[in-house]
Amino acid sequence: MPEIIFSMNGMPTTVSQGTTLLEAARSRGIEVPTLCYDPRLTPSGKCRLCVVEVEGWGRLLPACVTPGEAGIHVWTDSERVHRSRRVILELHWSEYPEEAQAGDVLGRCELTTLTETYRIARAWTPSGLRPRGRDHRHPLIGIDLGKCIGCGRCEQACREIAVCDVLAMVGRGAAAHVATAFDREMKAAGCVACGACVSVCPTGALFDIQSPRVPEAEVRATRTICPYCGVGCAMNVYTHRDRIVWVTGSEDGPANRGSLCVKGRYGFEYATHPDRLTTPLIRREGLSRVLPEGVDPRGLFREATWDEALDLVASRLRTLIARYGSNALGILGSAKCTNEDNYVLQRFARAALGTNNIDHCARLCHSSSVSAMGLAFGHGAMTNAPQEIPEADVIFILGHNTSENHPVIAGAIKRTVRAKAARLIVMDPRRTELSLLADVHLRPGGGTDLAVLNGLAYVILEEELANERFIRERTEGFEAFRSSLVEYTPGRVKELSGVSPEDLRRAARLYATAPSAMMFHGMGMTQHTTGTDKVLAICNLAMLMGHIGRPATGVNPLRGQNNVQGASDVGVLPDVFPGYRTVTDDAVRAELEQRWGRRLPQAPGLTVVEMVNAASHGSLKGMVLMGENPMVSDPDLNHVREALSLLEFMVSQEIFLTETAAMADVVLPASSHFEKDGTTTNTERRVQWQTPVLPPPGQARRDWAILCDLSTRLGYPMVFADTAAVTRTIAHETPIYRGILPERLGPAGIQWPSWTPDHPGTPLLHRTRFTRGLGKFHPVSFRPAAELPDSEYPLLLNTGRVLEQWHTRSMTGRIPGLNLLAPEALLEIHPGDASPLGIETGRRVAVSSRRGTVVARAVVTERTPPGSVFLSFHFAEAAANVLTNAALDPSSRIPEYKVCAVRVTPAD
Amino acid sequence: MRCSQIHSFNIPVTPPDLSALSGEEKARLLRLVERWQNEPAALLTMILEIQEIWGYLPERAFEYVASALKVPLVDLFAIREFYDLLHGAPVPARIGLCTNTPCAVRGGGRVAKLLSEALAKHPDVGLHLEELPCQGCCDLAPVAVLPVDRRPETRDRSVTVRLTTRTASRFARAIEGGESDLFSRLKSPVSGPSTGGRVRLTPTRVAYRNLHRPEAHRLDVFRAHGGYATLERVLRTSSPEDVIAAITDSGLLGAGGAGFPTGRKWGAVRKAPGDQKFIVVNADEGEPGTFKDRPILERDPHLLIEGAAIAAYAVGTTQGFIYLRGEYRLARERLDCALAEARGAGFLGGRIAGTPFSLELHLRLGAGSYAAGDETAMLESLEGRPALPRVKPPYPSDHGLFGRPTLVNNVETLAAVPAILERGPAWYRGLGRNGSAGVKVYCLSGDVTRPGNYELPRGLTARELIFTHGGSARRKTPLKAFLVGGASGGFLPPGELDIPLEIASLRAKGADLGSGAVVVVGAQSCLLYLARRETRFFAKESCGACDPCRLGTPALLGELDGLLDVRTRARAEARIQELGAVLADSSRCGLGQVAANPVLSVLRHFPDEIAAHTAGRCPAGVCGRGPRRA
Repeated sequence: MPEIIFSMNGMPTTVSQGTTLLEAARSRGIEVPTLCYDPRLTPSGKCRLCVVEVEGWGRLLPACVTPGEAGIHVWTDSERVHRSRRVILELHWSEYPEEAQAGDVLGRCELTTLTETYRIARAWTPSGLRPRGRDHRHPLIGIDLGKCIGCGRCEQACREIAVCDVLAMVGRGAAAHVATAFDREMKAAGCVACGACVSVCPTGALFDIQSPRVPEAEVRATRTICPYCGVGCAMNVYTHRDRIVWVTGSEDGPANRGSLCVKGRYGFEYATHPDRLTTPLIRREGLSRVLPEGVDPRGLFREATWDEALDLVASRLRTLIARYGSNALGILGSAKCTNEDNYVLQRFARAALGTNNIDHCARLCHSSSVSAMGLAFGHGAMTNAPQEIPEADVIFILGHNTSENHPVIAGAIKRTVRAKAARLIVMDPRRTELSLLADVHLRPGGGTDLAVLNGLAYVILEEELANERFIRERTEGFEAFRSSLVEYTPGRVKELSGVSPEDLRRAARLYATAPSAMMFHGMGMTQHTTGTDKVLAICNLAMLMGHIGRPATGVNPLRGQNNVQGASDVGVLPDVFPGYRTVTDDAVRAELEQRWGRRLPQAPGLTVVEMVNAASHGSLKGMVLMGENPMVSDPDLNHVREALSLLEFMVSQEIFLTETAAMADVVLPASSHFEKDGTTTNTERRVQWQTPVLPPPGQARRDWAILCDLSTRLGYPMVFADTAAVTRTIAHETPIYRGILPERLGPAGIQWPSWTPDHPGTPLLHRTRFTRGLGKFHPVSFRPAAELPDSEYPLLLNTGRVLEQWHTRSMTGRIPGLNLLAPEALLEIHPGDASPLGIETGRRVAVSSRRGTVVARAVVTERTPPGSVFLSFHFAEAAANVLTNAALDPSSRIPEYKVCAVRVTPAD
Repeated sequence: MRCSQIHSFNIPVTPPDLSALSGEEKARLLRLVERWQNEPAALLTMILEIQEIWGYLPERAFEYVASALKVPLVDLFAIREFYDLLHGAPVPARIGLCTNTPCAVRGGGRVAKLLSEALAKHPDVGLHLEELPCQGCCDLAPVAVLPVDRRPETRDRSVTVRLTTRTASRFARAIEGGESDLFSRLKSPVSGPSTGGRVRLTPTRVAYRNLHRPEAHRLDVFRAHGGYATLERVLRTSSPEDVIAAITDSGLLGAGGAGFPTGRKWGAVRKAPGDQKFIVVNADEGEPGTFKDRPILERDPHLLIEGAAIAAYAVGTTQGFIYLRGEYRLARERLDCALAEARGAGFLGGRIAGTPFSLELHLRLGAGSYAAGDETAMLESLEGRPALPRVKPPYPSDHGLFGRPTLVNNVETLAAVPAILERGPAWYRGLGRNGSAGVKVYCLSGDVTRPGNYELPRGLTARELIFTHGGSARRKTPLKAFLVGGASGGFLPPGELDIPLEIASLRAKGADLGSGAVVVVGAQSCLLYLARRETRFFAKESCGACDPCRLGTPALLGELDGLLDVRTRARAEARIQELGAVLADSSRCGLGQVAANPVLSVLRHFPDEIAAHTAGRCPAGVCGRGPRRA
């Protein structure tokens, strides 16, 4: 941009062309008040507090929407400007109810501050037109109409940041105020409670209902990372006397730029919930591991000292090893814990216990992505960062309900689509929010995505759209792949999947002809017995077009947990050490044996579901669990319960007495996310440092510290001075994390690989060469799901998450506001399937599979396709995983959560 | 480009249940949505037509529209709450009364008082009074809109009549006497929907060139007198640049209010980069005291189409919209008919008059908002949103409808174009007086014997218009003041009668020619009352797009009482001056910028009127301060 010079308050001012007068003034420290302006939003020029005088231009001009022009003379403090500013503030202040308690949770009110700064009086007669009243109908977000100054920032935030279109300024003139459609309750009006409106409100007219008002002086704000999904939003957590009172998004968070979703903004109360474990617990003698119905699990345990509990654990583990060998133990890490916790856990498993039987819930979400992308590209991680979304020409979402699972990324996608900057393709059997906005919505029947993916490749080749140069120069295995596609004609794909040839061709052309195309995939692709093949097919498509290794162009598995990427990176997997170096590689093993001072097991260990199976067969005797809750999260729960009950010993490090912890012999109280420092790695491989905001309750301790203590008692001392020392150790031992050093982790974090201590990180993978050298095409052929509907179980069950709940609800289940928004499991059923069964919305229904039965409330909706029902898996009382099939993908060992056969009947 | 460019992200996954609607209602709703959903800029028009199904807009219907068009439901709600003609609940039977300045001068306030007192005593009559915006027929003042009868099936049908204080007294007596059939008491039964907007013939024949002919709205009549010949000739023989040059040379100024040189505007749109441009005809005649476009729309719609087509050709667009005031029902029928006729005869549509030029011109309706008269607010309204003016710059010539270069011209402006191109710019320029070019339609109303529309030279003096053309002041009461430019103009004293009616001279006196409204105020009117009325009007019509106007207009109203007390007068005057200056300095659009003009002009030119009130006396006796209470 060329620069221009003009004079501001008599001073020559140089700015780039297009800079507004407000930006120019503020960048020079000139005070210009505003009420409607927010740097995150399109300037509206509404409040007119920022008016300035430009010589010879007649009327005053709102600085926020007036670009500077060369040679003009601008005055921000002339008498006319002061008069307008004062009168407008007087008018606002006169309308503002005197009895109102001004401001947000901390009592901060931009209007009040301005009236104090400019010594403003209530000088005018109020219009009497402004509506009054407080709306408390939504459990989290309240509206105080009397305090609404009509600035419109909330409406803009709802449209421009959240892209939800729930709020608007309604009414004319002085009566204009924020409202929902027909003044409906916010959720009924479509609000997803992201709180963007609250975060921009200058007066607290929109407010967080559950946050008490606290004096700003007594509040401490700490920047940390959100505990929920893999987006890795930075947040400011406000604490008051060791309680979290409020959370806002951090503007400097690279992944979220101030945005949060309902869980991030409102899901913090679990950390200080009275259910938190505060002391080690030991199971009372002679009690069965299986909890009888209706018994308070706390009664099964007695309190113990740390020494007693840890000694007990150490001696029992030692006994099991002595009796059955190290591989009779299984260790589960947690994608909710930090890299440091998980690093210490896997080293504990391998060096102290001597087994590779270590895994975590990444197995259950993206193990198929990790294995497929490893095979095709060499790295099993997102090739791009979501920050590139605005640059994409085509966004292709595969098997992922972004709006409910990664809401902040969905916001970026929606903003890009609304700006008409990108076309959208969605492949999902369900209607999702994004599918309603898509240019093409491909709705394959459950588990038939692979036919569609191969069909897309077929069309691209048939229409000669493929990027031959890329195929020639950057890939191998193309010919075998090409010949594998012959049978995937559009007609055949329709037979297999139900997707029409027209939609298939439209999607193929859109994707193929886009200058930049970003694919995002989720569990709709991965949680299948063909999960690995599906992700391979995605990689094939990307390589066919050369749609990889460029900005806003690549293959992106959206990771679920806040640290699922990191837990995998640091080796909480049965076949790899930290940094994905395989346990079978002698050189690597030798290097680590030297560093860790122990012989390390050579054979890859068991995966999550295999551990459960081994337990049920009696070959696995003991388990160490760190923050995992397989009793809700694993497939075929009745089988899991049975298997765990056969264990001889089970220890769980937890923050709550979860369904799984209640079965343990010893429960060790650990720290919640808000009590930890250390690093987590988000879905875009960005390693971010987090800061504790609370002390751990009672005797609860850091996970890595507990493990070090236990390890020492087992004769393998692990000692770290502090968390940063663990971080440095990981960096030292892990090539891709070499530059991930605590002192280097500023607000932006670092995206791995960071190969040297001064390497800046790698936002974009596979730029000029793939990690494995050449990209490799893999021919993959369609196989149906392991269990399909039949006459006995005529409906196909799909499972997934809902926006307001998290996983097994051990966190969100303890947050009243979230539970009011999503109180129970809902079975979505298509009207065509519901009416013959006499099922209406609200009716309780029994859902049965070959493995069990649960009862849930029905919602009759076209969201789910005919012949298919959908149930969220969060709720232990209607656990979808009682129903799901534990059939595994042969290469990644991921279970087929997304397809099984069920029968639905009215329950009352 | 669909009905609306907004693409909602808040769409119900399962379409709304319409089972609560009757079969016929549902069929009509589906038909209307089908009819309009792929039409450009049609959301508001569609909503108005949907409203005709029930007489109001049920939520269920809005849910369906939102889902079908992917428009956010909250936007439809905001639209409903913004526009006066849209209703969220069944509307009770009512008598609508205009009390804007032209009607107030002729006793509109007393009519309202008489009826409201009578109805308050007899609520069982089941009639409500409603204050109306200016109906664009001020020659009939005081104006009332009455239901044709009391049957529910005719609730949309109403008649616009003059309702004098005498008739109102008879109504009031009838109401008190418990009479049911009020309207039989009207002096003459009202027939025909065309009411008001009377044209007083002058020798000038420009925008009003055909209005002396009967049935000029018919295509055959229009063509028989040379209609569309200019368009054909221009398309065949002139380049767009020639046309723009001729219009520039003629000195034609925009007749809608701002008085911007038309040729320059056309040139700017022509030059603006963009493959798609638009022309928008501003037929949202709403400035109180203005009724000049109505006769063109009702009685010579083809002339407007011809002018618009020439303009479209000149600026290089093939798409246009006529944004018509929702209240103008006859104009709507006549335009619908004329547009169809013109299409049929090849003057609209593809390859007009056998040339490569084509133009689609669509009729779109406003729904009751004074603010929509601002050109950018009108564009917002066309795009299916509340009529909030945009921040300028950018101007519509660069960034108008749907972000494309757009020409917005007033009806009268475009209607003048064929005559100018036919007889030449020099002829038109020469029609002006006192250094002004061309002619203007003046809407004369108030206390004159011959109210109506006069097409006369620009620059003619107020005295000439009011006394020579309008006849002496009514009822031989001396002229107390005259208001030029409608609500946004200012009151001028008799001493200024020799002022030329042209923009610069008037602006120097704190007034404005505006749309050409001239309201004569006789001695029996109270200027403070009128100024208060106008201030209230602005406070009611303020759209909310900027805070000085949104909050300042009601605050201004709150200050007026201070003028009535000797102890507070000086302070009130100072505060009004200050607020008026801020409104003018900082408001976004014309509405706020001029909202204090009526009060300020009274303060400036009529100190005696204020002084009398301060002393406890209203010279006209209408404020409850004088001998006669009204």
